[in-house]
Amino acid sequence: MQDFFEQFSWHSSIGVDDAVQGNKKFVTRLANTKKASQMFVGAGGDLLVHKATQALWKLSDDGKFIEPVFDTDILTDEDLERGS
Amino acid sequence: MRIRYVGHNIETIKNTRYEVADIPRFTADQVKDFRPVFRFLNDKDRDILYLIFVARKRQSAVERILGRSQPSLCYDIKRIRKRLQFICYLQTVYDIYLDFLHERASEYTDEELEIMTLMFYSTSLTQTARLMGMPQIRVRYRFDKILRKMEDLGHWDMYEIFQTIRTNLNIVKRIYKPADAVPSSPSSF
Repeated sequence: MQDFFEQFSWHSSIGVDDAVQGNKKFVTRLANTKKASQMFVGAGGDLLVHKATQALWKLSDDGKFIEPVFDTDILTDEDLERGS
Repeated sequence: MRIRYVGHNIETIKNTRYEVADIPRFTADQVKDFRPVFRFLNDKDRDILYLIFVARKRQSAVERILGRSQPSLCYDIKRIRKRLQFICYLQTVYDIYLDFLHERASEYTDEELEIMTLMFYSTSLTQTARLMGMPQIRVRYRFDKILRKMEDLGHWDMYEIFQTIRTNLNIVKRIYKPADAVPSSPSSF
């Protein structure tokens, strides 16, 4: 039997309706490209602050990715459009 | 100079009693507008807020849904209120901090900036230490040293923000330690 919740992602800050409709895509990791890094401002060490949303992200240990410091600091695809 | 109170009638404010019906209710869209604030809350706090203020569940229903007792839920609601007040304060000074990162960050070392940013976002010496892979006692020492440096440099805006954080440690609890978590070494305290 297929698990309904397998592909289901929810974040209470966006509400249930959007999540059920599946019209939000969560971004939990970005490739460390020039375009991606322009959306952030350096905040000491590997820390980066997303300019549009104030979310706190950081460079991964190998420097290839940018990822949230706290689980609650996920971004949506809309946030990325606003920030670019 | 005489200072006069020019706002509302103070007696009216004193006599105001808030009823259950006065609890603010938000739509999901309004909640989205508060995302920068809610972002600072951990999942547990946000779930409680969402169920009470958006889904409009009664406290008894929230107790059942989250499997919580009435006293512990009440305690959390009071804590969330205080936490939100402090997060709102952080939001009001956020642009000052960003300006500081743009204009004066070069006067601080990378490690100092990292401590400041993590303290700004977590208000926790423990979480800052864990994220930086340093003993908490060293983070505490460095943080106090940063405050003295701000004084010396006359960065009073930053000093005020971080002194406020220093006197309200752990008020923004971003991550809850799992109940069964056992500290691995004395330095984790």
